Amino acid sequence: MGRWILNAIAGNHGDLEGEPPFRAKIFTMGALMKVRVLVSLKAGILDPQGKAVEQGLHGFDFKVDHLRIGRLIEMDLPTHNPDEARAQAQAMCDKLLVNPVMEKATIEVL
Amino acid sequence: MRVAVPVFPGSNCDHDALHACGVVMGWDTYPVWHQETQLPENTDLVFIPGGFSYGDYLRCGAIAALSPIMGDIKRHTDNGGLVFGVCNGFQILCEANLLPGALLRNESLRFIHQQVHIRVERADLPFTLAMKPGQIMKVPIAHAEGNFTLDAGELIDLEARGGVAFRYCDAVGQTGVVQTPNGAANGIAGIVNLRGNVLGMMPHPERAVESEMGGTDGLGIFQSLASTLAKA
Repeated sequence: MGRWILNAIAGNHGDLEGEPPFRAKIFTMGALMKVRVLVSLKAGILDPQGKAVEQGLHGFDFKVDHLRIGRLIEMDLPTHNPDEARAQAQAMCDKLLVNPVMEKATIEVL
Repeated sequence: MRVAVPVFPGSNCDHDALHACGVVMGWDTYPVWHQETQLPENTDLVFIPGGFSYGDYLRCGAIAALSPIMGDIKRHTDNGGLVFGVCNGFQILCEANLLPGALLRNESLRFIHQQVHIRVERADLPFTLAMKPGQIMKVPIAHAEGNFTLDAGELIDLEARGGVAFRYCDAVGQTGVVQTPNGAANGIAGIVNLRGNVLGMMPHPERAVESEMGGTDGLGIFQSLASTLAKA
């Protein structure tokens, strides 16, 4: 680990290029914000998976209704600015993370 | 007739497509790796095959829709070129916004693989003109996410403009909830874009082109494509 940090400071990472722990280390040396994107199904979109889990819970005598299953996406973004982080996450949602036909997203900057 | 079959990591029906187009139909057929940025010159038809591109991660077809080759497929589409997506290929076309809607998990939550009947709703498309309206085809399906969904207003528009190319039915052509194996809205098995040059469908006509496969009803689509291009 020590050698990686030294190399990073020296800007010399040629010999270690491609090693994920090294790249992660460089990244965490910069500014960073954690962002959470919660992707859930829009109202009215059938959620068979949620339905099955709900029925499973009924099997344990839990009183539960309208159970929906979504997807949680967490990431680190190289910025200190919450607005910038949010804008980046929104752009990612528009481009790939969310299919607007069936899903909606809630972005949380931590 | 020149056919390009884009191959993504996780495509597993690409050889079915290559066989149907290259061996059964005898067309000039090329597999095209997804990292290519150009289709072969003078490609007439792009056949996006089924499978599990990128392991169906995030959403079926979502990552494949961003592949480098998709840029040239969009250009081909804009120029009026024919694009045919089957199963995962249909999902990719929806994710790439070349077709409207999305394919959700089957209502039963199960992977379904069986022979189904579908009814030809549009027999005037480049993909169907050798068939008759209302013709019934027996073709296999094999998918876990074939539950076609579109919001109510857009679904009405899709139906009104004749965007539904195939609908699930029974052996005599009756459609309905019971005849729809996966819960798809209005029993929709396949749709076409406004211009009529992009078709996506969940059933696999390329797996019903030789009697050894258990049926040849899928040939109707390939023969239609052959006559379309013979005219061109």
